[in-house]
Parts: sequence; structure tokens; C-alpha cells
Amino acid sequence: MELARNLTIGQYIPRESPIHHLDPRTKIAATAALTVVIFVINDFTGSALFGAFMVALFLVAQIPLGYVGRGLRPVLFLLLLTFLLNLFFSGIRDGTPLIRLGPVVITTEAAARAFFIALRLVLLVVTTSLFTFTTSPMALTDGMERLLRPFRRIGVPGHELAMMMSIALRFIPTLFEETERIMKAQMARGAEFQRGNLLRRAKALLPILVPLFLSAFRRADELALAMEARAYRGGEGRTRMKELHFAPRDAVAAGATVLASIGFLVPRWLGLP
Amino acid sequence: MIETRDLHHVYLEGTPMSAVALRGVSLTIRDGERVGLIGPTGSGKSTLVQTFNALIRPTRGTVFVDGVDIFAPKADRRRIRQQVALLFQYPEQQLFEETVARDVSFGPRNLGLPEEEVASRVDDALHAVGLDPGTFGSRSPFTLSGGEMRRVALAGVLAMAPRVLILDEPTAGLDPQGKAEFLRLIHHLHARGNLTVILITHSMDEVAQVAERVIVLNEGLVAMDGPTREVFARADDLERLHLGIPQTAQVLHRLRARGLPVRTDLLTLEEARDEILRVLGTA
Amino acid sequence: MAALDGITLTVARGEYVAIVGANGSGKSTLAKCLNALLVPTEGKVLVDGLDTRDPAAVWQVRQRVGMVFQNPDNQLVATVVEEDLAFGPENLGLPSVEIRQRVDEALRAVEMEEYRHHAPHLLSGGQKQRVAIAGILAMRPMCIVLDEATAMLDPLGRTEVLRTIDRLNRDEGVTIVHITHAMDEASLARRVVALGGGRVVLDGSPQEVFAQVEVLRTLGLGVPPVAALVRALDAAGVRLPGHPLTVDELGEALHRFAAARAP
Repeated sequence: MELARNLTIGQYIPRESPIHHLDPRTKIAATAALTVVIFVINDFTGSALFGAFMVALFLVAQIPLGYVGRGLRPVLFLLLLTFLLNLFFSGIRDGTPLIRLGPVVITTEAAARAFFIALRLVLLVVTTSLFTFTTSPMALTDGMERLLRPFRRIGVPGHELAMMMSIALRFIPTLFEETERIMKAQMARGAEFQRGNLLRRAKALLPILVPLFLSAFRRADELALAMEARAYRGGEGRTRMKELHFAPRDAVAAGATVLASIGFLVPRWLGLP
Repeated sequence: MIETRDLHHVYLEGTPMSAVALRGVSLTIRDGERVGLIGPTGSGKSTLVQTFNALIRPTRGTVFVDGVDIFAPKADRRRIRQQVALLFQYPEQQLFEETVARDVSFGPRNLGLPEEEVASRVDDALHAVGLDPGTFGSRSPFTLSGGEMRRVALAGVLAMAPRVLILDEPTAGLDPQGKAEFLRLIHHLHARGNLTVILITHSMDEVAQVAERVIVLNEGLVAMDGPTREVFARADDLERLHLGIPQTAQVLHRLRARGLPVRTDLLTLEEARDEILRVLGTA
Repeated sequence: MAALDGITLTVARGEYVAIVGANGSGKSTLAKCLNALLVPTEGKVLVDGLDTRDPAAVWQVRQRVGMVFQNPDNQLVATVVEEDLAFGPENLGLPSVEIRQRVDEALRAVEMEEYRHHAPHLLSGGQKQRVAIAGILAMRPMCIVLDEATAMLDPLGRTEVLRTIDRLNRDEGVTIVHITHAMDEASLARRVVALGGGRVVLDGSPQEVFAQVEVLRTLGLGVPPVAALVRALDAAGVRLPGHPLTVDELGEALHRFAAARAP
């Protein structure tokens, strides 16, 4: 049971860096802008420069570069798949043959292309990792709520979405703990979950899923009651303890992001190499 | 018979989040014993009993059930879990079937018993927990009262026909009457067959009522182990572990501290009353 | 089916009342009526003069009467302790400076300052309940209702919560309504109300109520072990004055009794 207690949600690494202290809205916007930049960059030089830029940002955020590996691990398979698909099916037939495997010819150009696309994926993960490493889930939901506030009039339930996300974050560890406990209780009654074909395995999950759902519903009921008892009535008229304020550093960060983006984009638009 | 030898367990060993739960537990529980397992939260009680039926594999040391090493590569886990049954805390939360009878049959079915045997096991188990199979068998477990649901869960474990019954805080959340009934039920089950009972609880009064032997765990080690009276006579040691003793025994200790020559190894209300009357009569 | 069947009860400001009753006695229903989570089908509940049936008064009622529930996990909404404490005041629409101040005060009141930035799921049961209490304190209520709030805790957690509510009652004058079926906990209150079948059966000081052993037994409740021992001694002719309820009181009473009989 102790396992679930130690579960951490998200990848937030608490530090006292300037990037950590940025308003989450600034970081959401900057991450979006940099993502666009990544897709516009189409050569190795640009990628390398962008990589260097990210390394600098990680240094400022006081996050060891080793953590980037941690962020890449879950997408390793995707990365490999992308690389191989592009290697074999890029459609690039002309150019210098690099490897010949029977009828399949891999050209240097195709290899470069595959490598570039994989690199683009890596940069994407690195950029979003910087965001998740430096933004607590709480700040993330707050930022999201505030960014969506103007869209309230056209029916976007920003507050409700943010509240749902924050409650989900709060209860994920609890539900993990619960799953483990129910699993063990059924195992004590002779249940086995890793035996038989797919159908049998799926059926074996029923004794876990039914109690888990029942419990989740009960929890939801009780939580709703507790929230009501604490005078919760939706986002209307609600204030926040931690108001989000744009600080001078947010202006600096936004300015830097814009400048960097222009720096990456302008040569491309001008058709420069 | 359950025997542990130098049992160690560390959760998430080798990670920054590792937590030591057991640090060398060696003990023997004989057939038919009624054992109270007590200790502060985090002392390793739950971890220890989960090694008894191989739900947790200890990081070091092993457990023998009737002389068989249950962590040996060829050990039959299912057979061990049939012999050593474990009722978790708030067990009514594990119910999942449409009817009480089907839920109780989950265990015996998993054991691969023939249908007639399963049916008779279900009837026996429901009878044993004081629920009439005719009335309750076809009902949905989710329409029952909390106390009844808990007894259905107990029946589900008893239908495995275990020789050892481990109960992890079985009376938590019940009202006084529900608690008393459940404890009577445990007594009855023990008296009925040669069942070994291991009771984890925070209530010293429950231990005094159920257990003939008390094992005290503290920080993953056996701190005390002996007949219930002897363990409760060591009030100071128990207090140091924030465990306390039954309130009636506390009164006797208090009187002794004030110089009245009372015995302190008494547990029940009647014993305490008679002892006080005896001392007052001679005072 | 009537969960409550004609309850007339007044809790004065600053009281510490325990409401005891077996499962199904109506005590949880009564609790939910106290802050307008339930509205009675007949009769009315007045909180500080506000009628809980009046929809316009609901939020004022909930600010005045806070509620701690049984399951410590199912009442904390935020992933960080201090954010959870802020939840109530935020719902009241207070300015952020004031919320911050109230959160700090509430953390101090339950002695959880050092856990300010912790995640609730890493706290013990007793600590979670103290956070829940603090979350209510931050709304500056007149009264806190604890609906079997200690039932799922270990003895240490129970002690923590009981000590906290006792101090809040004594030092801060917060009215406490503690709903429980643990008789030893009820004996800590200044007044005990016993419910049965949706009615008030007993109402008085702990000493008075726990002297009614037979009545309590028919309610499915029993008495604290010390009261039971006093009763057994009484039946055997040892009459102790003042209905001792705690180990200390009984030890003292017996010591006096012995001294008086000594030549």
C-alpha cells in the first residue's frame, strides 16, 4: 500500500528559479509559441540553435539536463517508430544510396530526413518538459482557468474544467491506493489476474473494477457534500487566495520568447538557408 | 502453523522513496491460537500479515506455512491463500457480485471446486456468519446494512475453508453493538473449528476480549510477545509505544500506584471488580 | 421512512455537545440538518436566527456551521494543504489578503504550520482531519459539527482531533457538536445527547447520561468502560460519589473510599 503513497503526479520539480516564478499563463503562451517555432524550423542548423536555446533555459530553471532523459523515456518507442517509418517510407528515392536491403534502398537524404523528424520530436518533448518541470499542477490549472475566463461568454466552462482537473489530481493517488487494496483483497480470495487469454483476463478485472467504480461514486458523493458544506457554489463570486499577477519578469520572459521566435522564424521567411 | 524467519521488507527498495516496513521478524504462530497483533500505525502489522499468504514477497527472509516455504519457486500460491485467509479493513468494499451467494462463491470457484461443493461451501459460510442463505443468498449485497455487508465479506473469506483467519481491524467503523456482535462471531468461529485467529486492532479492549496471546510490533520489529495478561501487565512499556491498555486495567494500575495492593494482570470488568472489592474488603 | 421523528434541541453558543446514537439512530441526518445540507420535511432548524429552509440564508448558515465528515480523504479538494484551507474563504468571495491571513491563523490553530505545502494524501488520518477542521476554521464559523469524524482514525489520530476540538472550544469559544458512537469520546464533552429511533432519549451532563446504563444498552450503545466498572462496583455495594467517568476520577474516588474505610 505504501507504493501508492509515494506516487507523485506530474513531473514538477520544485526550485526557486526565475522560470518557476513566472506566471503560469506566460509559460503556457511561451510553450505554445515555441512549439510553433519547432514546427517551422526545417534544418539542422535551426534545430541545433533551438537546442542550445533550450539548454540555456534549463540552466536558468536549475533543472539538471539529466531529467530530460526522464521525460523522453515514455516516448522512446514513438521516437523509434517515427524514425524507422521515415527511414523506410519517406518517399525520398533520389540521392546517394546509403544502405541497400534487397529491394529497399535507403538514401542519405532519407536518413537525414528521418533523423531530423526524430530530432523535432525530441525538441518538442524537451520544450514541454521544461514547462511541466517548472509548473506545479496547481499553477497549471489556475493558469488554464484564467486563460479560459474570457471564453466563458461563449460557453467554455473554464472554472469547472480547472476544478475537475484539480480534483482529479488530488484523487489519483487515493484511487491508486484503493486499486491496490482491492486487488489484494480479491487475490486473497484466490483471484489471479495474469492467467489465461485476453477474454479471461478482462473478465478477471471485473472483481476490481466494480468495487473501484462503486467507491469512486461514493467518494464523489461525499466530496460534493463536503464542498457544498464549505459554501461552494461554482465559480460565480469566488475569489482566489493566490491571485495571478503578471510581474515585470513575465514581460521580460514574454519579450525574450518573442525575440527568440522571430530570430528563428525570420531567416526562414526570408528564404535564407 | 505459521513460522517466519528473519523477515525483512522494504517498500520500493533501491529508490529514493524506499521505506522500511519489517526489519527482522521471527515468530511462530501455532495451530488454533488466538493472537492479537498490535502496534502503532506504521509499525509493519499489515505488511507482516500480508507476507503470511504471499500477497507481499519479503525482501529478505521467508515464511513457512506447515513447514512449506511459501516463497519457494514451486510453491502453490492459491493453496496457501486457501489455507491462510485474510480479511482486509473495510472488507465490504470488495463486494462486487449481483447476489450475496455469488459473491461468497467467488473464492471457492477460484479454487476450481465442483459446483455442488461450491454451493455447500456458500451455505456453510453464510450460516457461520449468522446470515440465513435462504433469505440473504439471492439478495444484492449492496442493499444490505453496513454490518451485514461486512459479514458477507467475512463469509466470502470463510468459504475458502481456511485454517488461519487473519482479520485487519474488522470492527472499524461499526457502532458499539455491531462491534460486540462481530467479536462474538469471531469467538464463535474459533470455537467451532480448529481455526487459528490473528486479529489486528487498535483497541486494547478487543485484544483483551479475543486474544490469548499478544504480539506487539514496533518499527518493524517484535517488541513484545506473550500471553495477553503478561503483556498488559507491562503497562509502562505499552504506554511508551502509545498503545495503552484496557481502561479497566488502567484503573488497577492507578490504584496500585496509589499504594493499594491490587493485582494488575486482570483484563475483564468482572475480574477488575472482584479484585477491587477484595482489596477494599481488606483495606 | 422517518430518520428524525420530532427533535427539539437547543445548542447554546460555546457549548461542547456530544450526540451519541447507534447506526440508524438518525444522528447523521441530524448533523446534515444543522448546516442546510438537508432541510427538514417538518419543523425547522434555526442557526443564529437564520432559518435553514430559506434559500437566501443557506450560504450564511454554512459559513456559521462548518462540518467535518467521517472519511478524511473525501473532503479535501486541493493538492496542497494551504490551498485546501483557502477553499472555503474563496467560496465566500473574500479578498486574497484576508484569505491568506485566515489560512495562516487556521494552520496555527490546528498546529499544522509545517505541513502548509504538503500534499494531503501523504498525511496521516489524524492530520487530514485537522486540515479539514482548519479548512472550516478559515471560514470563521460559530460552530463545528463533527459527523463521526474520528471513526476512521487510529488512537493517535483520534487523540489529535479530540485535543484540537477541546482547545478550540475552550480557548476560541467555538461551539462543538461531536457526533459519535464511541462512548469514551462522548464522555469528554460537557453535554451528551443520546438519540434513538430519531428522537432525543437522554440529554444531560456526561455523568448523568452515562449513569443510565440500561437505557443506553437498549439504544445499542453501552457505556464507557470506566462507567461500567463504577456501575458493577455500585451493584456490589461500593457506592462512589460523583459518577466518575475517567480513569483518573475513578482512581481518585476509590483511593478516597479506601482511605475513609481504613481505621
